[in-house]
Amino acid sequence: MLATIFTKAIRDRSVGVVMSALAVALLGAGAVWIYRDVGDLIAELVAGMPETIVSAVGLSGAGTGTTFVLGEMLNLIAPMVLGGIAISIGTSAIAGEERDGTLGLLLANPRSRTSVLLSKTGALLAMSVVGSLFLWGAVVVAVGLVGGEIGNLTLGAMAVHLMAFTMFMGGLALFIGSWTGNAAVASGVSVGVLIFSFLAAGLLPLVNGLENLAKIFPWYYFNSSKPIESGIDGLDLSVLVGATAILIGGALIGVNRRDLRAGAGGTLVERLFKNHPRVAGYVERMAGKPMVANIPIKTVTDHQFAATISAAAIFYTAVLVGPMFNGLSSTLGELTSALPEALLRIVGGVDMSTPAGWYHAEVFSLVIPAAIGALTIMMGSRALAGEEDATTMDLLLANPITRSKVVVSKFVALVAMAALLGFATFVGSVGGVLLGGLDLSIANIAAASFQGVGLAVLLGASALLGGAVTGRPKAAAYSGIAVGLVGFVMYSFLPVNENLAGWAKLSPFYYYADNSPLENGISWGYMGILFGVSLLLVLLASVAFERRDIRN
Amino acid sequence: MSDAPAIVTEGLTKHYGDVRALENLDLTIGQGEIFGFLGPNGSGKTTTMRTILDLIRPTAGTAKIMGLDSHEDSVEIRKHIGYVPGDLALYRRLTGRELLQYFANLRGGVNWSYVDELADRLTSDLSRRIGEYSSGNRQKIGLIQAFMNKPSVLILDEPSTGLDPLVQQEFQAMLREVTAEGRTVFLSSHTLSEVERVADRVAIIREGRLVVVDTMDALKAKAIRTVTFHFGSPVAESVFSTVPGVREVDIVGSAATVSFEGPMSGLLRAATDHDVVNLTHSEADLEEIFLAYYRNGQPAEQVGA
Repeated sequence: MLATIFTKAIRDRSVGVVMSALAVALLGAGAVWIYRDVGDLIAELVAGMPETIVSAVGLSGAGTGTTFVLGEMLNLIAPMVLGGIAISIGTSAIAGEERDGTLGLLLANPRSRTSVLLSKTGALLAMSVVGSLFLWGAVVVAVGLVGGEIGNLTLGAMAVHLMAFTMFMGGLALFIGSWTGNAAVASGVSVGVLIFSFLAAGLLPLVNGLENLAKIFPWYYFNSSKPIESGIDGLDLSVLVGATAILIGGALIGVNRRDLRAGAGGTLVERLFKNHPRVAGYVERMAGKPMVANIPIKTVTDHQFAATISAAAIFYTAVLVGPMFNGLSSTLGELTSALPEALLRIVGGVDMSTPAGWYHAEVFSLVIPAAIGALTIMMGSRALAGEEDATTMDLLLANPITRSKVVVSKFVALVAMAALLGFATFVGSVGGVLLGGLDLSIANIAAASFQGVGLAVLLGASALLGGAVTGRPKAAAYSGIAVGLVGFVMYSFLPVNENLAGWAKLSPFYYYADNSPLENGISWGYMGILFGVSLLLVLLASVAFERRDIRN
Repeated sequence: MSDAPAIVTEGLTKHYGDVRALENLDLTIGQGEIFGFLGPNGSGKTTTMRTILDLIRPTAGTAKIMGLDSHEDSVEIRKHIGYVPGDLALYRRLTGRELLQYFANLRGGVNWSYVDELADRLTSDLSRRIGEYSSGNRQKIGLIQAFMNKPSVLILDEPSTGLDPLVQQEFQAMLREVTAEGRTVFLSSHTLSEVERVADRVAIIREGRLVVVDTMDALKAKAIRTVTFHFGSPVAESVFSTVPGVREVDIVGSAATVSFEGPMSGLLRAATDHDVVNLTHSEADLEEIFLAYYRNGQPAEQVGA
């Protein structure tokens, strides 16, 4: 084993792992705190509901309020986060170093490919173990601090399952990266497997005749045995460990028999252009021709590819949801009336038996903020910090324009793009409503789409401010994501507890959705708050950006 | 534009925490000069240039371009500046022409026939995507964007990186044309021969401090040169060792090899008292001087003296 490679791999990731585990634990503790009063009630209600419904909305049964909430955190968020980190480690191990052009340099040292890969696998293993154990410890401490109770949850067993699952996800990325040398494929496919297997493991058992199909997905072996309640399941665990061993063995074969790439370099699009001329043609058409008349126009065309895909996804989702309503409305009515309001909030918040409620739950509550917000956050983080990171900012600012003008120009592009996606939301939803013959006001759809634009602009402006202050694209993106996630959690969960409900007004989601624009039309006051705060953030960004040194 | 010097820095200082990137730098660069800026890696050349451009702000001191304050009047200044950063990065998705159009739109005052002329002289193909260019071809685009609006002051940080010798030659010709029009070039470079060829004056900085500023001719005059006299019969070492400026005398048979700095006349007078048969003279080695300054902050003749 190569101690140096092992240590470097650990050093590169340790902060991310510890921070993520800590974040999950804090989130868990926060939820326990919020649910202390109402959790027991929910748990009781959940216990009384039919198994199919419980499983369909992604809840686990049994236990007290604390255990119920902790179960949600550990069953869903922890594997997503730690699995995601493992994928990133597995990807960077071989394929990532090839992309950066550093693998050739590493292997110029007198070490075999096998020993390099094993060192990196060791680091992956260490991170999975440490991450899971740290999370376990952090949860115990955090829950203790807010005065919750662990009860008879088998957190240790959960941690062991989490370890094995995390290793599997990292091993998968390692395997794909070792065979293809393509970091984008390795991480893309692995993340796809992570998310798809979660959905499949939750939904397939509900479908008659397809129950056993869930068993081909790794998530099934992670928690179908409910390790947090029932302890370690030896068989499931050995399936995960065995599969991981096979993946790592396969990775060893792959990396040893292949020609290594010399620093593929460039962006994903550039590599596509080089390797797949036909794909390149489609991509190029979607990405459009760059336009350089001024900063806003260039910035908009820079993001045309991502915007095209987002707009198409939003449009089709919004169209398809309309006709679906007719087939489901009676079932939805029953389901909705069976659930207490506190629980409804968690799964989307409204009465899904009405067209407005249905559209809100299926399109507007999460899909629109996530899809438009992702694009505006990306634009916000690239606006300043991205150009600094690419060191193009030096040249841009060598032109006779003020820094504030750069900030404002980039913000204008961000608003234009959000408006474009808001328009796709509107047109798609109107199409769906017409196709399904639903009774939903077109003006109200416009109102909800417009408020969605306001929310997305605010998230993008948060990322812009993060970039203006730090000059680092990751910090910028995290600023936007944090505002989005914390805002979403605050708006969704705080109102469950009467004493904390008022705090939800601090969340931008409150001003996006609390007036129920699909039912009641636009709230100009809320729109004013969303855009006013965004402008304030842009002003702060200008001040911060004017004052500091440009990174080099 | 005013008659003020092209660039003036007064007490320019930049600290990053404990790191003193630049310490009390005083420079005056006149209009119409090519001013060479030399120093080892990390000596503060790029920091100086980025401060002058207001990309970073000085801890103390000021910089003025054409009499305008680098921070207060930065937008006005940048109408008259062309800049090539040391670590040149361009928008990879754009073609060369699109990139130049973008900057031309932000800058104004660009004559496209001049852009085509520049591209032609530097053999640059503007129709391809920048992501597909080699580093040398990217550098050419960087040069064109700096020259294209005929700026009064060109600030060039390692501009000839990656250029082939033919293009380098053309680039040097372009620099001379710029100064012939009364415009100014502030040039940092590691290619000492290039600086020697084009620069009127040179500054050397080391660890953020200015070590020397002088004209190229004065630096050459300071350089240690070597002359070998062949005499009819052997002469004593004392014939030369007392002459002012002589550093070293080496007698082998009837030949005397003398290292000296400064004017040659004293040396010649001493030699012609004897029977001089022949004389060979080696050129001043400017590179040696630069390197001595880099290493020790001292000119060569003081090293080991």
